[in-house]
Amino acid sequence: MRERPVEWNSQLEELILRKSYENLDTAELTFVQSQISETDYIEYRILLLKSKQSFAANQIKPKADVQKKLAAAMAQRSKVQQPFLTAINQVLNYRMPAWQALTGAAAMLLCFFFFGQKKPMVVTSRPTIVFQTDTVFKKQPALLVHDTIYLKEGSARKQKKYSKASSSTIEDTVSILALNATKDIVVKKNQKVYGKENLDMPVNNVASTIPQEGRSAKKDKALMDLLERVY
Amino acid sequence: MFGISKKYNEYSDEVLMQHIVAGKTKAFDELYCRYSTQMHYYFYRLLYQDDEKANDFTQNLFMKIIEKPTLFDNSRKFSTWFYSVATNMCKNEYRRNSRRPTEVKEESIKDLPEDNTFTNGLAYYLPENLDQEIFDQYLKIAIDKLSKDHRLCFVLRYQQELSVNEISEILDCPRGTVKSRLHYAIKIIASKMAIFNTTRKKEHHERKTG
Repeated sequence: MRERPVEWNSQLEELILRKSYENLDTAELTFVQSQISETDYIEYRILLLKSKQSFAANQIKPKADVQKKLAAAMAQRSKVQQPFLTAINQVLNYRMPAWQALTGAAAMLLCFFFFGQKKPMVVTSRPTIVFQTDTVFKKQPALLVHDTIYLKEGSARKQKKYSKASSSTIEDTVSILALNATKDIVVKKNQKVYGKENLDMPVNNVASTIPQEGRSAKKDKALMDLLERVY
Repeated sequence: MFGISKKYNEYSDEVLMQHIVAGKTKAFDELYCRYSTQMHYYFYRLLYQDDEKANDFTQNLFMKIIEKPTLFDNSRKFSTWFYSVATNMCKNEYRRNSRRPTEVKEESIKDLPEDNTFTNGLAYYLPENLDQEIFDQYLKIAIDKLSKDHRLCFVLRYQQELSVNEISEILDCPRGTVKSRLHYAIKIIASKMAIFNTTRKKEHHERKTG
């Protein structure tokens, strides 16, 4: 009949590695003797301790060549997987000789000192807006006011209208004036008002082509005197 | 991304794997730094102490991560998954190779001094460093003489310093099986290395000299 293999006891292993047979206390000795003989204990201890030393001392490393091959294979796979990142990585990790980089930097500095200072830097700052215009000026075309009335003899309607004025009495004159009160213009029959300077300001520095007309303050005063006398 | 230095050495293995899936080369470099030496040593020990073969297997193992990183299930612990892959590679190699490692080393182990060398009182006076060197040679051969399963258990436990639970997960077998294999492996190797028991050596020496 085949002997049933005995299981390796972890507690026994821990004791073997920690204590020699002579240093075991009574409880430990009892436990060990229930498991293995003294000779076995000593031989197992020698084996395990010396094996540990041997394994630690003889550890060997793989060749550096293996790592290089694996790194290349991994880089290849990574390149296939991330072509965009690899391209960026290549640019960022681009290697160049130090003298090239230093020469480039020196050239840039020289360019800056010789050419960069000729033209002073113009700082174009936008004006700070303190307020905004809230009033809108609307230019209106010059108002053409006809302040000269021509009374033609041939017009029956006008003849009738101004028939009283032709009597050249003061009342007639006043009535005519009243008709034109809205325009505030004194008009006398067949009297042309020319030769007066245009009182309006020229628009856009262009002299107005409107014929000069109007009244003078002197005439206005005369009119006011007349009206005072009438009323 | 550029300009942001990521501290990959602070990331767990599982997080590093996620970065490797995303194609981050630095994550792979970090993972290689963590595992390359121990995996190479694992292969070296299991594959007849052949350094070239260990290099090839290490390269192939990491190449699997590069080519098919999605094979790793993030719900698992990376180290145990990685060791599982490596162990399966070794098993396949054993299967492919008609010359089993025990057969390879059978002749050489016969040439090593037997226990009676020490009874002559020679080994008792060996300096400590020489003693360790001879021990290393004996240990290598003794491990190679173990069966495939026992060798795996012993190497994973005492060379790679993995827990019984982890070994159980890697080898896909119950914890009890791992423990019994460990006990058997220790018993076999210890019997081969009994010559290094100084107490026994002393007893032999005293008996011989009277």
